[in-house]
Amino acid sequence: MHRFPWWAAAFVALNIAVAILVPWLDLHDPYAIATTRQFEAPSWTHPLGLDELGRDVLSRLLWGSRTSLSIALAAAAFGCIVGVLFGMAGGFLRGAVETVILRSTDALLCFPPLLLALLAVTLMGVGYSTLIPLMALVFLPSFIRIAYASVLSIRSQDYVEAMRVLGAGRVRVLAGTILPNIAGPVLVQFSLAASAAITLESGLSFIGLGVAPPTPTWGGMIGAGRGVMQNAPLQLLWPCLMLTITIVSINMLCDGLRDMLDPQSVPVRLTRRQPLPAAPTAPAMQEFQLDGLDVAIATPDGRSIMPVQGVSFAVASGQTLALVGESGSGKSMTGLALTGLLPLNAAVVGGAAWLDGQELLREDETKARARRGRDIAMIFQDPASSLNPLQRVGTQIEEMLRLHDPGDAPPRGPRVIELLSRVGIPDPARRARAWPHELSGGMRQRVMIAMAIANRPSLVIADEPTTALDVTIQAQILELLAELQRETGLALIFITHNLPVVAEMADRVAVMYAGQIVETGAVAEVFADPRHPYTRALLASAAPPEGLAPQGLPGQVPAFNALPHGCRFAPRCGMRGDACEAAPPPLVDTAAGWQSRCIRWKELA
Amino acid sequence: MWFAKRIAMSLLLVWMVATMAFGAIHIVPGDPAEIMLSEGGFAPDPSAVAALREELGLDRPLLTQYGDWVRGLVRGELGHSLLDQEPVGELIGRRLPRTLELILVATLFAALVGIPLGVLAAVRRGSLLDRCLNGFAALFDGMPVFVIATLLILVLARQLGWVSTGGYVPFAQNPAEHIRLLLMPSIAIGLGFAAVVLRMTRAAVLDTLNRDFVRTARSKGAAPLRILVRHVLRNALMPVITVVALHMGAMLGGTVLTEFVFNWPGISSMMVDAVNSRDYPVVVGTLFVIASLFVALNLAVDLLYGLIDPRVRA
Repeated sequence: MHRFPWWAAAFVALNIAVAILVPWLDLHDPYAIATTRQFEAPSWTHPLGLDELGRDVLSRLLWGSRTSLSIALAAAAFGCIVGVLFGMAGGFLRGAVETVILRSTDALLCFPPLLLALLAVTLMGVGYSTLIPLMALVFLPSFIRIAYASVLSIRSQDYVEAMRVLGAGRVRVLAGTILPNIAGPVLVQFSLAASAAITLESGLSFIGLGVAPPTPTWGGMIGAGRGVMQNAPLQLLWPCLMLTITIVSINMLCDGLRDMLDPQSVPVRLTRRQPLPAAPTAPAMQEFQLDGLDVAIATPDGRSIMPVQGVSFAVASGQTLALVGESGSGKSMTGLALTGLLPLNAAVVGGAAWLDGQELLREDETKARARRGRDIAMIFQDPASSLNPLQRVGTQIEEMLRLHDPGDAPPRGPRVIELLSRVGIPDPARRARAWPHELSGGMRQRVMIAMAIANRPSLVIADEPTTALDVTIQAQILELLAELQRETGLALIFITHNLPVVAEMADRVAVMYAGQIVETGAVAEVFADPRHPYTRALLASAAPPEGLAPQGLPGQVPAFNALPHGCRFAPRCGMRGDACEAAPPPLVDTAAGWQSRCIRWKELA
Repeated sequence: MWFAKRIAMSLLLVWMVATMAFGAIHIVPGDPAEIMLSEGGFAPDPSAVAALREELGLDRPLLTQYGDWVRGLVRGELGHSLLDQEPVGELIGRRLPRTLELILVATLFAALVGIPLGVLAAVRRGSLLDRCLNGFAALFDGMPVFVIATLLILVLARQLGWVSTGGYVPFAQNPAEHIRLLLMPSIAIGLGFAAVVLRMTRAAVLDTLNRDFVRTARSKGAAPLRILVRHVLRNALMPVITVVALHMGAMLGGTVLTEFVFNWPGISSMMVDAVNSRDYPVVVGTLFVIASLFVALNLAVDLLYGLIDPRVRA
């Protein structure tokens, strides 16, 4: 969607070329008056006709380019150079200089540019010598701010300090590091200033206080055309069109430049091409069962990758399954797929999931929505950003109740307080009226948990619920989750990369690598005797034996668009053989309820 | 505390604005009295220049002049018009409400058009509708206000004859006519403003839709419309309010061209007349009042922020 606006760039370039070359373009004299030929219709010699004084309209239009652009560019350049110098001076010298520069900038910004212009015209008269310094002054603050902010952010950085220690003079530091860094934003601001200058200049010329007639300007032409719009509406249209297109294209160019400097990839919406095939009949049931989940993501280049492939697991009620892996292993994506909260560029493309015998992945949105928060609840990683900052926490819990109100429910107010008290928040009646920012991180996560258990869901998916919290708080939150689970018998899917937590919390574990489960089994068994080299490496790095350095994994998780043909872990595996790279290994049973995706698992024992 | 600090900052800014308005006449090269009396490039009569210098107090020491100016401001006096000796304060008091009226209606128009369309564009991002709205926004954002105003008159008044080309009738005299005349200039200003509001709203809503608490709301099973209304809009409105307020401030001086085109006797057209007749006290006084209003507006926005966002008050 973000393509560079070439047409706008081309128009601006053409406009500048015309402005420079207009004296050599063999146009009619823009000043030549022929009173007898007023408003002459367009002809071959005068393609846009003649104006109210019999002057050639096309010629005046193009000469107007020269006037407008020269003033705009001069003013923008002037403002840019002076502003950047002031801004850098403020950032580097600090102290009184900084205060004076910044405060005057604030005060200057309080004067509307057009009124400042009127004041300047009163004091200095009409003309170029008033317009250019005036507009430079108007644009000064924005350049000062850019330069100042950038100096502040850069001056503290190590390499600038290093250069100064090495003896580089201030000027060299400025020229060598600051200028290249602000070139981008300054360029954008320069174009914005140029476009604002054209608007300002033509506005002033329009009311006769800018460039004095008979010099051709677009604003002046519109002003003159206004008086004769009844007879010759086109007189008005041409300069209006020229002015508008010029300004719009410069603005477009600005947007394009900004996108180039700060590229934000736009997610590609992924629509599932085919409906999922009919789900197989429900297997002998655990509380929750997932079978062969595939998730696809559309990449900006138009292809798609599969960050979750063939993931299957089951969780019995009252049990906890830990989903473990490095970031990018697909564990969070799995959790989001189960709740139907995948981002727009992702979709479930295969598999089936059953909760209490109901298939989840084929449900329509209305049913899935009714289920979210009622049967399945989620707890997210960062409670600070996961709560709405502008709603009281009690209101947010109450919303969870309200959305799934069965009708015969108890009044919601007392229930909210009861929930808050259940998750261990002291003085719950008062805390229900607190804003999220008034609570500590641990308290906020307790609120999230209260929200999750509000409707007594049968499945809770907790995605790294303690990662953003202090270590001391982590233990309390985990204890709370375990307690609630014992009490309500909910099935818990616990997504984490923290193996000690897994050992403490979970009954079963599923280890994910590059979108696949590589080993799954009972926690005690898997941790005691890992049957996949990746699990073994993870355990080794998480809990190094006394006196030994953690055994780091060489290499990186492969990118999803460049997966190895055979075993996905093979490139980083110390045990790989030819067979490993020949074909993708299947998940094989190594014992009852214990599977590994390693063809050499027996050698690990 | 936060409140008191903000007000103190604003007063400081008003003082700086007053100083700058005062300084303007002294920092520019040349003798302002001479320039004010110059007409068509002829050197003015030296005795007339001297008389004007005396009248404006330009012959006295700079510090005395500055002291008088500030003292006058504290008492609410802005000097007298050179043309008819009328107090500048009274002139402004008569003209300013008409401009504020224009700005308020334009802002209302911009908010009513820009915010819903911006939300719509964000919700339907990437669609044909979104692209069209973006195109219109870019066009009206770029088109100078006097071009919009002139084209409105050309099409609606001259070609179609639906409305009159401009003018002003006091509300007390003829309410219906007053409102009819008010609409055209307000819409002329409001169109460009609406474009800015639309773009800002769209960006803010898109940004908010990506925030974590929106995902939380979805995980609770809230329907898209409820999420938009209860969670997204209030959060997204903060940057939009800032833009609206700053833009309103900018419009205080930006109605010059619109008032000119539609013959609207507001404060800006008074300023243009004052410039044309070189009525320096009126120009400086008006400039000071408008800049101070701008400061007050910024203060109001900050206070409003405090109302909407509990974090600001902390």
